[in-house]
Amino acid sequence: MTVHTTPPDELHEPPVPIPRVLLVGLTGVGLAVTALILGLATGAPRQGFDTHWADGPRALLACLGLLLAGCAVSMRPGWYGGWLCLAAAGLIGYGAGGPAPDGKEWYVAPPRDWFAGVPVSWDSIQLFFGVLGCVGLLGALMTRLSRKVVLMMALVGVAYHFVGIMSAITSPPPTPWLTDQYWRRVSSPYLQFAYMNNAYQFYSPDPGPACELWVCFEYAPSTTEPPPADAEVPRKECDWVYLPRRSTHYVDPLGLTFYRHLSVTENLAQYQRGSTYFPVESDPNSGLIARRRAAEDERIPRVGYSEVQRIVPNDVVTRQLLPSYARHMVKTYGRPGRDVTGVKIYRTTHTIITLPQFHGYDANMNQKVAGMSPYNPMLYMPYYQGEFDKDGNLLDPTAPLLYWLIPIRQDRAMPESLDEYRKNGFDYYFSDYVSRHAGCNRPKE
Amino acid sequence: MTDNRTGSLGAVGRFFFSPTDPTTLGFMRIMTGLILLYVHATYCIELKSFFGPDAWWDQPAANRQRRQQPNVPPPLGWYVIEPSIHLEGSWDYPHRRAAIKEFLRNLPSDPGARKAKLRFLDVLITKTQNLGGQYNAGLGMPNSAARLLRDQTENARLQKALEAEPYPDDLDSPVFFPAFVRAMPPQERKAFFHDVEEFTSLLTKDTEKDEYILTWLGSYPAHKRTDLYQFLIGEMKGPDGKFLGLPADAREREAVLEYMEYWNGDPRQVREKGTSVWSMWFHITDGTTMWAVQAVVLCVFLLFTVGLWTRVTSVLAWAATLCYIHRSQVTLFGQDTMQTILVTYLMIGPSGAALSLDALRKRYRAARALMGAGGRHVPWAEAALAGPQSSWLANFAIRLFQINFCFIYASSGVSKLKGTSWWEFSAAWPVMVNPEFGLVRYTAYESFLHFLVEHRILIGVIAAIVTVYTLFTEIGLPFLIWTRLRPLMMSLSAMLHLGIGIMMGLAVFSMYMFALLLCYFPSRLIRERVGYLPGAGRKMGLTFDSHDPAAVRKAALVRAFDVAGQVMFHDAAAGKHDATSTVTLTDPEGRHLTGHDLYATALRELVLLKPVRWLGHIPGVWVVTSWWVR
Repeated sequence: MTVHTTPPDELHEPPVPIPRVLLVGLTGVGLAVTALILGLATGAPRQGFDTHWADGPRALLACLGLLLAGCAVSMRPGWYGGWLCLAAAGLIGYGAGGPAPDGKEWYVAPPRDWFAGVPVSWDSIQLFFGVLGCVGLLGALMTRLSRKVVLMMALVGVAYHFVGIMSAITSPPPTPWLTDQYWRRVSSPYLQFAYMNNAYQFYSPDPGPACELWVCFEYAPSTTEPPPADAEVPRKECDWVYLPRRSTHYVDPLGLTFYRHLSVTENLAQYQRGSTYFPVESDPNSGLIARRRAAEDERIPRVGYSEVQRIVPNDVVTRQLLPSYARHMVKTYGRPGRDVTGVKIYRTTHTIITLPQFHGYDANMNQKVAGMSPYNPMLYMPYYQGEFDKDGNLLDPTAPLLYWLIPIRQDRAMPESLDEYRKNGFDYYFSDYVSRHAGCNRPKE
Repeated sequence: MTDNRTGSLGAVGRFFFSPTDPTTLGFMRIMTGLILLYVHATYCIELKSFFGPDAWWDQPAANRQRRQQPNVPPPLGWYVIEPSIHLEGSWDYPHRRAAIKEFLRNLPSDPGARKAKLRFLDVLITKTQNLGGQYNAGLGMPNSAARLLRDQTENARLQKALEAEPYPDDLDSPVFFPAFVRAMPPQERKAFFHDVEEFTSLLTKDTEKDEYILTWLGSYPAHKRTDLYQFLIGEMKGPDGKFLGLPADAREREAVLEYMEYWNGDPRQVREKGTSVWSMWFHITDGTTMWAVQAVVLCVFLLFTVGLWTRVTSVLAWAATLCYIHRSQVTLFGQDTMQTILVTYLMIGPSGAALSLDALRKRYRAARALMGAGGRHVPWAEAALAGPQSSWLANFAIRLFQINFCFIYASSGVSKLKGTSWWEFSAAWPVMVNPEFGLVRYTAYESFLHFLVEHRILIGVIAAIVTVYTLFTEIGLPFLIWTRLRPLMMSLSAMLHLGIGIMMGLAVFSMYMFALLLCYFPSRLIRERVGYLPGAGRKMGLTFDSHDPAAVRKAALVRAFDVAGQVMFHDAAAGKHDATSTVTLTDPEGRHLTGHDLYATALRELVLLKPVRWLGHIPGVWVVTSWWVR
């Protein structure tokens, strides 16, 4: 890097006159105050997160105020006045409140009145304003300090920043005790706020397979289309959706939307560590679920490998993500105007084919066998994540195959040519227990 | 400032604060801005699915997480913070959790009544301490009692057993009494059974649910059962004297149970709740507003890319990108991390000081000041026209980039060493054949792979090269990038990311990595390759009168765009030329041009403007230009 000397002051452009900076900065502060007054005048909630009609205009006013105050800083960064305007706009937006009254716990009800330019329902933006307000105060202070002190403060900031990043890097298990302490007590608020909390452990320790979602929607019988008179039982109406698919999600030239959907599905691949789900019920002598599972054995065979047979997602997945995904999918992928009675979700790991499988080498027999395609249905491992209603409630927590692998089994040897395979069809070569489990025939790709 | 380079800050000060040319940052800004525009334009496709109220990670769930997520750091000493109630085991299973929650919810609110109803547990826990399985045997009694209460015959047999003294081994009792009950005197035994009945009345009357509740109580850690009883009767206190028992108030109890159900912890023991994420998308629910915000954000990125008002738009770009990231955490992957690093450091550094409209605006202001000065020296203007000024903040930002880049590589490389596949050279294969990311969907590529695997030595060597190359580059770069091997390491890094972009399809991620890699490029190299050096283009002359403000504005405009020094400026007021209020451009062919022709020629001839000379064909552009410099 070419190193230069700092230009002397006379080589710097004359700064913007202070009155202009002040005008812009105070206008910003005024807008933030206006947002505060608007909230008070319209009786907007000062507690809780209930929305109010004035929330939008107030948020807009406060944001414009902060923007103008920020412009004042950029016009003359060396003058403390602009920074103070930023601090004022930020802190007015953030707000203030009295101490919480005794006996009023936060988890029961909002503890206190909060007066802020930014509406209380926009609480995350209040946080942003608060931080920028503090930055404004710090900036104002720095303009009054010697350059050397400012540079030393910058170095302290650098140290805090990179030690925080180090704590993020070392936070994946096995987490050092010290990292855990530093992370939870010191760095995580900053790193979360700035989204600097990635561990950068890409594609490690080992490359893993991608996940898909196979989703089966079941609908209430149509009221407009009566079933055929000769039908003994009402026909089950259902749809399948696969996520993601290049055909539907690779919609931008670089496939970003497709990869984002892969991240959506990948988030479900978070597992409980060392968990044996249903420890009591899985007791074959007494467990309700074990008995129901045993009854299912005839219909849905077990894979036989205990390490892949049942993989239990962690609490984040079961209590937060899956219900949210189910609600979203009902609204987005369900047939318009139809009442969805259940959404069965299968998290499907698309196992990456091994080198011997691809080549067609059986290591046990030490002989050549037919090579496999990376898209062979046997490589898809669908794990049943439960059936949800349209509100995201798990319909049957005691479902015998909850979090179990529902296998796809090969019954016949694959043909040499793809044409022959297409001619005979998927069902000729494979037993699709996913369709059987869902009670709805799955379209094969 | 230069004092600090040799002063107490020493080498560290020199490393971070030596002023440097901001051109590198300017180029990184353009590259980042273009990718930002693309990335956020693609959000238009799934705006509601990713950020709307009913998104994949919908607003209720996302807001609940950021407002309530507990943070309970481990203690600094040896002793862990005991939870008010142990929720592992049965609590993990939704159906069992529901039954236990129902039991807890329905316990009497009056502490006295609750204590009376739970006396059974108190006696059971006290009497069975160190008695192994008798606690669980005792817990079986409420189940028996529940059945007996409906049968008078059985009840009579039970009374006989309760009154027997001593308790005979062969007594025909419908209820199995554990040894510690049999050892009780009749009065105590009867009182205990009364407690059993009282406790039984707390159960749900649903056999399955009751079994779940009793199983939970039965599997409760033995040394914590007394605490459990204290919790249930509402007399538990934390080490600081804080009330941690089951609340008497129904609303508070429900709130505590709700929190426990979702977060597996007691809200009263949470040191901090919520996360420090923020986003406007947590709050916007209306579709029209969403699209309006999206349009504004794209405009901000455009301004950032071209470098207009960069000090403000860089902060706005940083805030906007984080709004998307914080809201839609389930859609993120590595590229979003790189994006954040880029926008953060570009915001800190003077990324708009070079290769930007801001730089051109500054040149225009400088040219006006200098040309209107009537031949006097204006040092700052002359310095500004000489090119971007060195800045310690530019160096500071570039150092942040460089250090962070090393962190990324070191972490990524070292963490790979934990995996066996990297040691056995098999990590390359999943990349080559990954169906979702890779190229294997193309038949020609799959055939090529078949060709490779037919020759085991070939695929073995390729896999080894890819693995070693990756590890060497990722682990070696943080050390070797500071040496004379920097060009080599940068080339290796660029090739690595090119490979990732092609083989894994992660083109945007790779582009962000390329943008990050630019931080190691010398600014002079970028200026030579991207900018225009003095001497480029054909020579012209321009005559103006420095006494005429309008003429100065027109001349300054040309001078601002004349980054290669193509135009020789003559001030008519200086006396060497005839004074005239008309600005005249002498083009390379020697023609004297004014008005529209002057601007059209400047647009055509000035090297900076050549790429956008098509702008001259836009109707009205000359009217606006003339009005602006009038």
